[in-house]
Amino acid sequence: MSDAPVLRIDGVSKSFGTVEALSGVSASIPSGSVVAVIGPNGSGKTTLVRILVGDLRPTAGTVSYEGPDTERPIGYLPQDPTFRSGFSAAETLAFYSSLVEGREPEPLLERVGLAAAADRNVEDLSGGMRQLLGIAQATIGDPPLVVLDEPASGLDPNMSENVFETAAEMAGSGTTVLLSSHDLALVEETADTVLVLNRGGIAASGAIDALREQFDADSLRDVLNEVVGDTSRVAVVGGSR
Amino acid sequence: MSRFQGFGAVAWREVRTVVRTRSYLLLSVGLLAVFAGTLRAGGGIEGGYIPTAVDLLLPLELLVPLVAVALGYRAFGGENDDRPVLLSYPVSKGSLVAGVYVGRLIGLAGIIGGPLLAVGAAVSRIGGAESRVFATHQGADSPVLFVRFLALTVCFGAVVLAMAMAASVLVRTSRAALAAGLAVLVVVVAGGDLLAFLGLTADAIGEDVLGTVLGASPNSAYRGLVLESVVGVATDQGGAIDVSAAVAGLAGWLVVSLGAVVVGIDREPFAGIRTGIGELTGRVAGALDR
Amino acid sequence: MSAESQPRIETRTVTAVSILVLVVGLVAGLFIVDLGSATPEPVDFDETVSVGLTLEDELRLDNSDADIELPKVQTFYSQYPYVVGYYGVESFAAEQRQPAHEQRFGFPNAIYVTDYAGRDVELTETGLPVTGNSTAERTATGGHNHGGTAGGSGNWVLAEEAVYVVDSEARTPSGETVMPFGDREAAEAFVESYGGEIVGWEAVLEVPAGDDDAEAVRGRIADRHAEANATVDSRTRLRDRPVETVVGEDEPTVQSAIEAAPPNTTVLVPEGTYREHVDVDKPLTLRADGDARIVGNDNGTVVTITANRTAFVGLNVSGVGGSTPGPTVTDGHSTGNVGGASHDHGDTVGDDSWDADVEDDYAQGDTAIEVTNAEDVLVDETEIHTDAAGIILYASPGSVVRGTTVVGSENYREGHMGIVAMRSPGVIENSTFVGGLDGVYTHRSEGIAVRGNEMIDNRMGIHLMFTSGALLTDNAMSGQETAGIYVMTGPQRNAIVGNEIRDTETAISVGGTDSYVAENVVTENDLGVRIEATASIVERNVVADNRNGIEAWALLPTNRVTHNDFVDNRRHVSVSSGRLRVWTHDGEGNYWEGAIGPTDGTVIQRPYTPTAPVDGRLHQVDGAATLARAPALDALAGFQGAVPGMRADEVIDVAPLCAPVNDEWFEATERTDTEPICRSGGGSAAQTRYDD
Repeated sequence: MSDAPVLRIDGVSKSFGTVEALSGVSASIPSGSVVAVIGPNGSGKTTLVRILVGDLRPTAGTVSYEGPDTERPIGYLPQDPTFRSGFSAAETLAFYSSLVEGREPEPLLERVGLAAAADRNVEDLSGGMRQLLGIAQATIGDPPLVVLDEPASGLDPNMSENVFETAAEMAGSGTTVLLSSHDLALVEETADTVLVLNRGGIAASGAIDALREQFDADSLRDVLNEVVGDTSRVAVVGGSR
Repeated sequence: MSRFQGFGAVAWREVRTVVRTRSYLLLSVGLLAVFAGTLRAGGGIEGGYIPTAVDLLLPLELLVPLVAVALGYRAFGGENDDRPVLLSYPVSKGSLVAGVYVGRLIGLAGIIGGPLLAVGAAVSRIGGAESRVFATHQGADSPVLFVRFLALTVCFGAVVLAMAMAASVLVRTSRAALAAGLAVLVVVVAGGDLLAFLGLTADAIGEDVLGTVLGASPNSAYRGLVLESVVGVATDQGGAIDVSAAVAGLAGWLVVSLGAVVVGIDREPFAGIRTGIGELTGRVAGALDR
Repeated sequence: MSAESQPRIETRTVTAVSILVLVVGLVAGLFIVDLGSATPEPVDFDETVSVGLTLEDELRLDNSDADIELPKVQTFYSQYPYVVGYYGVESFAAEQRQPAHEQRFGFPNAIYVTDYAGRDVELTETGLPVTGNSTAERTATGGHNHGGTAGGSGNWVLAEEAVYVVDSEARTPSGETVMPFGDREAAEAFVESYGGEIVGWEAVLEVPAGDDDAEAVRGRIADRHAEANATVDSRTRLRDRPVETVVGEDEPTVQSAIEAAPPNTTVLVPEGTYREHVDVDKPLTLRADGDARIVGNDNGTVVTITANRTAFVGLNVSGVGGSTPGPTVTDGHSTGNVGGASHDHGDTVGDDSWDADVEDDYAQGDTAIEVTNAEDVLVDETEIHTDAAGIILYASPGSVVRGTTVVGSENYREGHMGIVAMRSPGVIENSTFVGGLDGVYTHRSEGIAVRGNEMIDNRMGIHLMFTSGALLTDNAMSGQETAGIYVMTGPQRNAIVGNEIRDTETAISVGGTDSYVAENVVTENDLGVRIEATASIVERNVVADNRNGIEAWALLPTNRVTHNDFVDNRRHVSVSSGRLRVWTHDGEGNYWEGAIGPTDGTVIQRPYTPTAPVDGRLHQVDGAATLARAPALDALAGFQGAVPGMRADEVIDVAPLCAPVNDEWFEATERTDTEPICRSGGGSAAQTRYDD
């Protein structure tokens, strides 16, 4: 775990028309760690993730990748990934591998535990297996930074734990993993650093212990509650329209 | 080198996608049935390659755009769209567009070319006059002409495919993509000719430039080129269309459409402009409020 | 890190792209390649689809001893699959100038002409070219050696490479001809012996061939009628000869009266029955005064006329013997059997012995009146009852038969012709022929006029053999076993106009070239018109209520068939062979019951294909109109006319008329509710509804 940041976020804002989804987000993602982005619904998590991987362009601010130079710097698993039907899991991974100096798909499938489903068509995979396939895809080419948008969504508790364990493993071998999630317990177990988003801005950030101390909370859950305040209404950025 | 590689993988994936979609196979079989029915009714097969081409010209003018739009409007839609993920790979926009286009074009060539080749084979066996009493000869008919016909048809399909792909990336939702695809279909099949017709009757288009103006409409360009380079060989009648205008027209539509795809492949192609306009409107609204 | 998949895709991409480039290059090349394919080799002229020589001329040439070789042309067209053969460069030039020529055939890929260079060509007395050492082989006798000329491939030269001698003494049966030579010196040698001048291919194409267009053809009809009228007028004056002898008063029998009468007078035959054989050997008028009957003894011919300018008026002849050529002979004399060289007939002259058999057979037998070698004879107001022939005209040009009735045998196989006109061009008019074999049978009677007659219940009404330039107009026929009018042996310039024929097997069957079939009304027949002729005009006929309307037989699509009314036939048109024929000229076609489509007031703007399964049923089958309008079929109809020479046997009318042409006929019959669709805009099928 080195201190050099792999990604630097500087004053990023994003507006959709007159709706300001993000404003003035700045952070630095340290390398070799697991960074979690948490926050209530509508806080801008997915928007931020998409900007970080380049899927959206920020209205203001910059995102700079400062990690090692490689073919594929950032691996990405979007929320609800799309896979072409008619192809098997192995074929799908083989395609993405062929875009970089990639490996054979089998080891990748093994790593996420899908070895048995290698020849099954993706449309025949369950939701959880698709997530795992997506994670495998995100690691193709050994990118230094792997970004996972809600990787455990739709997974049962065991699978979720599996996913987070895999993330921790990757981080252990030097890859930076940035993930967003609602599963605060798993985040608490796995993540090294947490970014708390609320209403389009970073409300708090730092190591989990530090955050607990800062907000005088027993768990990450309580930290979030402290930060967000009133939890009975969903914040809709931009007022009611 | 890696750019090239991305192109190959993407193209190959498109080809395999088309091959694995059963409805495209059914489409091809359906085309063959339509060709067979048309030729049966028109009797072109016994006449040789040229009458066969004449008989098939109209169905192709309608069906090729249909196949092209079917292949093109979903090129970047729904589950075929993994642009966010592809972004993270070292595949340039150009390679992506080229790969998808070439892959689907190969699919189109197969879907349309297959039945046409079958027809050509049938003509080579059945076609032409036979007589035990009289000497027969081929006249101007020859398989070369049919190959020309096939090539022109695929080129026509290539142009409409590009147009349909452009329509599909420039709209946001898949419903809109379908509507845009259908709009392309209508424009290609009828729009250009209706405009030319209106122009001619309103004297806006002079008779002497008709041959050139028709080149701007993709289906008229196709039709004109077939009449000129396939049928015209037998009748020795030139003037079906200004060949260079037709080729230029088709090439123009192709280049512009592919360019539009490259621009539109970015999910927020005009983000900069849009934000600028958004800011401007916001400021104006604020000023008016005061 | 295994990099296996990467090179796999890379090499795959590279190969794929290179293959693509190769294919694209090849295909692009195909657009550039000039498809002026190799010039086809000339074929045996027998294998071409040829026009321009009547069977008569062919046989005559076959029969002569000399090695006659007529100049010929064979053409390979770009969109017509058969090789077309022409007799005479001038006939090719004329056909090429026809307005629809290029539409039907495309353009010529290769044109070959007969090459007389190096073949010791000479001309006979009549100007026919004869070659010394041709590579032609004559087929065994008995078969046809078309025109006595079987030009093999060694004797052809490309038209553009030859030179041509025009205005020389060279002739074909059709007239002056152009002689092609592959070698200029040979041409010059020919010019020295036979005159003329040498021109090139371009100049030859402009040589006028004196060919008619439709207007000229119609004008000729009037001329021919005028000629016939003049002939008839001249003949009828024979009736006015002074009466010098009266049978019964001056002489006891008709025959003695004839012998006693001075030439150029009238012998009057008063009422009565005269059982005798009558032989007229001097120019006399034999005229009946009341019901005068000459009755034979049922054994032989009754009246024989051998003197010029004899007139036979108002008499009744019967008691004819029963000797006829017999059914096998008459049925067997199709074009295939004529011309055997085995018989020697004393009466035939010089190189006319090719038809000896025919003359023998048909001129034989008993007849009521036999006219032999007598010019300008008149048979007027005569009534004949016979079991054999009625009148046999043999080598008697200028004969006029009018106002006469011939009642022949009820069973045609036991009878013979009403009139046989053998080498006897003249006029046959206003007469009636009942029963017997053929009402009027002609053989080599060029220019004969048969008009205004009535033929009932014969085998054929009018049977033309080896007769060109005939005028067959205004006859009414019904009940023929085989045909109303049958023109055989490929003659030229026959005109069949204004006849009414019903209830026969085939109303009109016309072969040859340059025929004009117009304004006839053919109804209730098995087949209305069979067109075997080429370069002919079939116009303004009414073809109604037949099983089949018109049958198109000619292989070459060179006829003009327009402005006919097709109504209520089971099948309007059928085709036996050939390529697509377009029956439209100058923007107007025919009127078809059943044709649908939008109209502009004159024509319907949807092509009508009577031989197609749907169009052909439009006038008979409910629902056909709906099917015909299916976009797929409707659009196809529009393309049918393209490259007609390359399409299989069909007939298409690209501008069908929206109203019938022969209004008077439709009004005269009870079809007053013909609904031409000109006004209705094409919503309903053109229909003729009439009360049964």
